[in-house]
Amino acid sequence: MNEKNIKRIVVALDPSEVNRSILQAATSLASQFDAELNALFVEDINLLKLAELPFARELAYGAQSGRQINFADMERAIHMQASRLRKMVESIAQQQKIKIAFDVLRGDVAKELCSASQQTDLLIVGKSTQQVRHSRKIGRVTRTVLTSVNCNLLLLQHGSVVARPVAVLYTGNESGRRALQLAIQLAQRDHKNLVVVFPSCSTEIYKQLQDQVSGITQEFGLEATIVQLQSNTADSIIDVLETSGAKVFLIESENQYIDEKQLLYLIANNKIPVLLSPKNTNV
Amino acid sequence: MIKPLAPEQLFTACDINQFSFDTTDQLQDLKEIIGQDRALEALHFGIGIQQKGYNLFVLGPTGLGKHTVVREYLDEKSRSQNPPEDWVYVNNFSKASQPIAISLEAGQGKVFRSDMQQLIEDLRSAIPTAFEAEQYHARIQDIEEELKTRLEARFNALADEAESHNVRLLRTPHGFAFAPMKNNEVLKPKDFEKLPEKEQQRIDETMNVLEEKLNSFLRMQPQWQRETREKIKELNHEIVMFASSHFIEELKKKYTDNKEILAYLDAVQQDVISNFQDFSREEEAPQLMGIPLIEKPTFRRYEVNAIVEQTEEEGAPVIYEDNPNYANLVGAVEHTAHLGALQTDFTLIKPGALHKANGGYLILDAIKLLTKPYVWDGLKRALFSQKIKIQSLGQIYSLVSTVSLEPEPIPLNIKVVLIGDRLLYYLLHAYDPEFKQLFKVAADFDDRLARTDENQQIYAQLIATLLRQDKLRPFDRSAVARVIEHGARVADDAEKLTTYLLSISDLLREADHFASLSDNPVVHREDVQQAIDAQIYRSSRIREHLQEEIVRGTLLIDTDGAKVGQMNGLAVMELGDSRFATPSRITATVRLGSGEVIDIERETELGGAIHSKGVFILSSFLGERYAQLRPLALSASLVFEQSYGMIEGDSASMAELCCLLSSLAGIPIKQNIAMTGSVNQRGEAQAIGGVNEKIEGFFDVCNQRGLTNDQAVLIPSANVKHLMLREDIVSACHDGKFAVYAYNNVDEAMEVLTGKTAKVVNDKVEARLVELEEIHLEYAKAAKESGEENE
Repeated sequence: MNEKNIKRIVVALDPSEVNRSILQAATSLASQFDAELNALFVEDINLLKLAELPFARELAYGAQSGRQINFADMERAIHMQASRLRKMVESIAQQQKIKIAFDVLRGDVAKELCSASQQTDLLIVGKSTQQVRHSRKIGRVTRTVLTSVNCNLLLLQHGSVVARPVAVLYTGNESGRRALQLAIQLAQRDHKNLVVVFPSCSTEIYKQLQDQVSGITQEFGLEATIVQLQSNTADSIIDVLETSGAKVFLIESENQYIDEKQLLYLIANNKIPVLLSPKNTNV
Repeated sequence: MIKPLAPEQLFTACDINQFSFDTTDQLQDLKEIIGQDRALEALHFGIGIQQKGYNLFVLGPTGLGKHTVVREYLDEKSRSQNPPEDWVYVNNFSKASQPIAISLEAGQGKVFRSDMQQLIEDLRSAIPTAFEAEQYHARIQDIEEELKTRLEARFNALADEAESHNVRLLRTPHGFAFAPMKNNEVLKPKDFEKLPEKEQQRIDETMNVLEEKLNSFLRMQPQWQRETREKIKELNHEIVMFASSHFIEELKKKYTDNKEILAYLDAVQQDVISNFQDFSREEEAPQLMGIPLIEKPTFRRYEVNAIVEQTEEEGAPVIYEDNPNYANLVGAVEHTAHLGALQTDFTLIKPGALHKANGGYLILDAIKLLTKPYVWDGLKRALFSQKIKIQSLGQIYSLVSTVSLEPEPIPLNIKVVLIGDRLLYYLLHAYDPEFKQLFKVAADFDDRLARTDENQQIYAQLIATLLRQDKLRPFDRSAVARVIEHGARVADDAEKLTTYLLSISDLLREADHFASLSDNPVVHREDVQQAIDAQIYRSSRIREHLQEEIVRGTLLIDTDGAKVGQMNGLAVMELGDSRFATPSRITATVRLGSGEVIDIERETELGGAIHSKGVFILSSFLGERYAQLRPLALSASLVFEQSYGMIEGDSASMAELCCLLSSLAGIPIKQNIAMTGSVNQRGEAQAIGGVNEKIEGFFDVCNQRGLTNDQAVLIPSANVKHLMLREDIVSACHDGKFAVYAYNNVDEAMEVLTGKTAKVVNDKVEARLVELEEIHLEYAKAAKESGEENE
């Protein structure tokens, strides 16, 4: 259990203004886990393709009507974005006194992120970076990444940070145990309190889960607050998180209690970062 | 021939037997003001009349106690009057440069100020609390959620609509763009070209429609955001109203009768709503070298500047402004320096004496008022307009054009009492036409009162009061009597007493001092006399110097023998607070002429107008008495010998006449006699001033040379009542060593001066004049004959 779960972190940056808070959250986690941190910017191939089309037009904010765009202009604009991001990464690295590698790839954003996730323990992405600000809708890229990556995936809301207390859904299976271990690592640094959420289940299973959790938490000297869901729904989880004041929530990306639809709903409507633990880990 | 005056006529002593007390400790304090009935009546009238322009000018020489009298009278009067209103300045929220003046009942100004402080304290606690409430945050969240939902709904609908046409809404570096999709990828240009033209056109049209919709959506976004901001503003308004209205309503109930305060509180509430952020919890502002980079919100604008605060028990205010410069009189707007700039606001409005005395009385020294620049104009402007308008001199005279405060003028209801000397009053009356419109009542303080027995008793009481005020030793009866005698001497009249309290107070203090040197628990006559003698000695340097020069023969004055056309006149000099006289030689010469009497002083412009008038009068007397029916065939010259300065007054005109008559008659004048007095056209003697000093002046010279028992001074009979001579002179007269004669006309005077009867003198004068006329006629005849021969 003392083995480090997170050795490498990749944080996906995009041109939206939420990047700074996402990168700061990532540096904080990298320091906590003493992990390598890579910032990744993917030049969206779709935008470049669009720019090649003869009728391609861009509607700039504040402009009266759309304007014609071409490949060169688009490429230059994307390079500018990448350049700005690089400066931001360098500035934060200097501030936080941390080493951050910055990579720029070109391709389909979702695919490139999935590909990058193969080489990392934790991928951090914004929840809806391509959408309107504060949107509750999960962006297309995020949705794709959510269903495809095979590493820990941290979905950050706009402006949120990874803080404590930490809440984790514990279902008793292997991926659930990994999620609990990660939650303990997140919690134990400076906060001894951990909120462990049990699914709505039979008394017998509840008892088993309780025994397992108390064994693990005692080993780490943590006080676990155990809360059981009223029902295995996203709304019930949101209620528990709001009541407990949790600042980050860990959940398995696949489990027998919360289906994918509920998971997406939870991610969309919940206000704190959600860390999804993969079914199978490539670590 | 007239007889010398009896010693009793030379000094009117105060009879100590009229006093029933042993020392002044047994006397009650004097409540009333003595000898100023006319001035008090004027004060009473001026203060009582409630009409515009009936302000007062209290006039009289310095030292009469005008200030004390006026102050005591006004204090007494004001005690029975209701205190006037309090005045406060508050911020004008719609125009900060014009602060609002509000009046409140006496004593309520500070209450209102404290109420406003409490209100702001309450609001600083209540407003942040209201904004920290969960309900508030929930409502804010609802409003923001509403906008978010609205935006999301429109955006998602547009994105979904695009997807339904195989078009995707993409975020570009500068905005948005629609891209046609194929197999979840953006259509490649070569694939697009392969599409049939109709399909290409359809895609193009779809994209145009979607773009139009997106454009419309983006345009609507600021409006929706504005609507949201408005809703938040309304909510904030509601919350502030909720948090503040209770406190403000409570104050409104308290001041329900004061419309200005009600209006002000409404304005305060509106301002609090507009600036509710200022009431949020205080955070430390970032600083650079100790200077805050962001100015912390201040609550000065809600302060109350109580510029006039009355106390209910005190009655109407009586204010004396001893430094009546413009700002001290009318008030001023002060400034504070902030980062090198001068700033001001209504809290820096400072009241002037007019504010403090409004509804009561303001006492000012006229000379101070007139010698301070622009103050007289400022006072007149305020009295004419009956308003106090605070303006800097720069504003009034358009010297500066910077923006400053223009506080709302305050109605003025005041009685101004100016105190000054008579000359100032008459000058103002003569040269300032507005003065008589504004200061209609003159309270003229008399500097003397009749020396009756009753008044001497009151004077003794006054002395006792002054002694107690200054915590001095008690005076016995003899000391009081000596002070009264000195009071008569200061008044220059044996039948009057001075009301010049400064002089009397000084004498009392100095007599007390000499008593203390002798360890006398009670002040005696000798102590008072010692104080008087010391006063005289201290101021006698010049007098003694002049006398010394006479005795040494530098200044030529004869005190024995007899000479034709030479006479001892007496001249009074005033230097500072000392007044003394010395003898001065007057000479006259006569010769054949055509009737003119030459006044050498006038010819050399060293004689004043009154002196010249005296010489003209004596010329007329000569003509009237000796040459009614024939021409005066003489030419005479008159001069004050060894006089090197201006000579003014006619008190030597009788001496000049006698000198001239002596010269005409060829009868010598006794040089052991000096004389004073003015003459009229009929040769009658008229009273002069400074008679005591003149007699003393000649006596001192004679005394220093040694009294010859025949030395004397001639004074007009009208001056006998003024005699309050020094004890040594009275004593010398009593012993027959010196004499004072009172004469009524030139004949009586010539008899004493020459030892001849008036008839002898007049006959000789007439004979000389006839002789001169005859010579004149002979000359005229000879001239006529000489003229005919030439023809």
